[in-house]
Amino acid sequence: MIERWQEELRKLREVRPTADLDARIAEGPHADMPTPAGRRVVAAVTAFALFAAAGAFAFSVLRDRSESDVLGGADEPRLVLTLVSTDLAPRATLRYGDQTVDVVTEGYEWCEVDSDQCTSMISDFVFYPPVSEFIVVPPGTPIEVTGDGAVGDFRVTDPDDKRVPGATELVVPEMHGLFAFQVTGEFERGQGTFFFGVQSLDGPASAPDVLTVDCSAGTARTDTSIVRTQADGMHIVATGTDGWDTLQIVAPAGAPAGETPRIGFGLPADGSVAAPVYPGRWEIGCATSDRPVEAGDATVAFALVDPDDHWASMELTCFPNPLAEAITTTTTIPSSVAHADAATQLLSGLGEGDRIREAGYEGGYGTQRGRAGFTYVVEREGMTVARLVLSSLETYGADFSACADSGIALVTDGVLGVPDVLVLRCEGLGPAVDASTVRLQPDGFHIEASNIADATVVDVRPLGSETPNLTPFLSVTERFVVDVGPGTVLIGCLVQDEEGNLVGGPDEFPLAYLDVEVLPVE
Amino acid sequence: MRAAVEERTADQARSSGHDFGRLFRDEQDAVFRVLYAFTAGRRDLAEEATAEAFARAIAQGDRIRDPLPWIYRTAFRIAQRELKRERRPPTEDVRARGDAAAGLGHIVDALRQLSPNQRAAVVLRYEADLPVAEIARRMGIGTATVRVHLHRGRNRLRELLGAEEVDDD
Repeated sequence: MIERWQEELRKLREVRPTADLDARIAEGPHADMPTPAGRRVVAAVTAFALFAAAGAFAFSVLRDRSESDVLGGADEPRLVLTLVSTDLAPRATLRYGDQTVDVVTEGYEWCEVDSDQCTSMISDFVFYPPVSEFIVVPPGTPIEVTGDGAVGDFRVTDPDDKRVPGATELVVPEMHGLFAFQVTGEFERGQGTFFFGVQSLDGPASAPDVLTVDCSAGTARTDTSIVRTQADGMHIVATGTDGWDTLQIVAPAGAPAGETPRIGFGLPADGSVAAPVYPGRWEIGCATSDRPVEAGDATVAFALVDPDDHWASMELTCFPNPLAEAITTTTTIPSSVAHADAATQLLSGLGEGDRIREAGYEGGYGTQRGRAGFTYVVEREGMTVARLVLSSLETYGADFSACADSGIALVTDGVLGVPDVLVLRCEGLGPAVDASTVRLQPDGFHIEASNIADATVVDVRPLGSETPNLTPFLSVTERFVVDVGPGTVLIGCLVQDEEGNLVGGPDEFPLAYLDVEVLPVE
Repeated sequence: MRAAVEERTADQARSSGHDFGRLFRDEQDAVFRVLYAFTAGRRDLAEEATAEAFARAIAQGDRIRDPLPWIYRTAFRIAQRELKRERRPPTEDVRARGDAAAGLGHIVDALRQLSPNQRAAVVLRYEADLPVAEIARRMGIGTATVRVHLHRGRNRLRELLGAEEVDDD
C-alpha cells in the first residue's frame, strides 16, 4: 500500500521530453556565455564549436601551470607563437616555458592544394579569452613566430578593444597591464586570424592587491589572473551583485579530494571584503544561498601570491609524516599573560633563525587562527615546522604539534596539568576541546559546553556504546556532569530533526564527534 | 539526430573515459522528469535545462569526475536561474495543457505549492527511489537539508493530495 500523494507522484513516470533534446545537445552549450566589453561580433558563419575550443584553452592554461609558471618563472623569457597548417584549417598555439595552449581562432580562408576550392570561416561571437586565462609574462617579452605560417599583420589592444599606442613590434608592451593580441597568419594555403591574451607583470610584487569580481554577466569575471595578499587577507571588490548572495572561493577543479576547502562570504554593503584565503591557486564564483559554486562551473581562476610575507601557514611542512609530538593539554600559565609571551614560554628547542609568529594573516581574524584559539607557528627557512594553538580560560590550554626532525618541543616543567573539567565548544566545524585528557571528579565527568553553532544536544558516550547519552542546550553555555567511567569517551555536538529525533551517531557523523581520555579520580 | 550526439560524445569518450552517449540514453528521461517537477511542469524550461546540462557535460569531458550528479546540479542551476529571471510563479504553458489531459494536472498543481528544492527532493526520493545521500549529491546540498526538504514537501503533498492508503500496483 502507498499513500494517495505517492500514487499521484508516480504519474510523473509517464512524462517524457517532447522536444528533440538530441539536436539541442548536439549544438553544444548555449546559455550564459560571458559578454565582455572586448566582444567582437563579425557577421558570417556561426561557429559554436569555438566556444568549446575556448573552454579547453582556458582549462589547459590554468590547470597545468605551476605557481612559478604563473609568476613568469619560465627559463626562456619569450613567448613562442606557432602557426601551422592542417588539412582542414590553420591552427596556432602559444608556448611560454613549459606551458603550451591553443590560441582562439577568429576565422580563416583555407584553400585546397592544387585546386581553386577554398573554405572560409569567420566566427560569430568570438570573445577575447577572459582575463583569468591570460598568460602572465614580464613586460617586454618578445614573441617568436615558428611553424609554416608567417605573421602578416597584428594588433595589440587592451581588454576594452582600445589599441595600445606604440605597439609596432610583436612584443609584449613594456608596461604592466592586460593585453589582447590579434594576429593574422599567412600560409601557403590561405590565412587565419587568432587571438590570445597576456598579463604583463615584473613579478609577484607588482601584482594587483585587489581582485575585482563582476557578477553582472550571470557568471563571475575578474580583472586579473594574479592577486597579491594584503596584511589582513585577500582583498576582493564585488560588482554587479544584484541577484547574488555570496562570493565563494573553491579549490581548482581536479584538486585531490580532501584538499578542496570552500570559503564563502556574504556580499558586503560597500562591495569589498578581506577574505582569509591562503596563498595558492583558487577559483571564484558568484553564488546564491541555495546554489553553491562548483569548481570549473561558471568560476574563474586566479593565483594568490604573498610576496610581502603577510601569511604564515599553520600546516606543518612535514605533514603527513610522523610528528615528534602531538599533545593537547592544559598549562599553569595564567591567561592574563599575553598570548605571544605564553607561546614563547611554552616552546623549546628553537634554532637560530627560527621565528615564532601568529598563523594566518598578521592583521586578519577568524578561521586562519584556528578554531580553538590563537595559533602560533614556528617558521624555519619559510616553512612551518611546529604549531601551538592556545585556548584561554583561567589558564592557557595548549594544542601542540611539531615535525619529528625539528627539535622543537613543548615545555612541560611546571606548566602542564590535567584538568578535571572538560571545556567543550560546539563549533560550525564540529566539536573542539581544550584538553584531550581529563580527570574524573568524585561525582562524575564534568563538562562545560559552549554552543557557538547550531547544535541542539551534546552526546557523551563511552567508545563502542551504541546508546546516546544526550544533554540538551537550553542556553549558550551548559555545565553538567555525566556518569561515565575511566577510558575513552566520545563527545559529539549534534542537531536533532524537526521532530526531536537524533538522525545518527558516531558512525553516521564521524566529524561531529571527537574522543577524550578520561582518567580515574585522583 | 541522435547520431549527432553519439558522434559528438564518442570523441569525448575516447579522450575522457566517460561514456556520455550511454549516459544520455540511460538518464535523459530521468533527468528531464526531475527537472519537470523542479520547474512545476514548465516543460520548455525542463527540456532546455536538461539539454544544456548534458551539452555542458560533454564539453567539459574528463574534467568532471562524476558526470551524473554534475549534470543534475547544473540542470537545477540553469532552471533556477531562469525561474528567478522570470520572477513570476510557474504558470500553465500551452504544452502543459497536454500534460493536464494526460492526468498530470493534480500532481503539477500540487507541485506548484512546493518550493523548487522540495519538489526535486520529493521526486528524487519517491519517484526515482534514491537514498538521501544520493539526493544530496545530485542537488549539491547536505543530507540534513535534504531531510528537511523531504519532510516539508511530503507533509505538503499529503495535505494537498491526500494521505489515504491505496493499492500499490
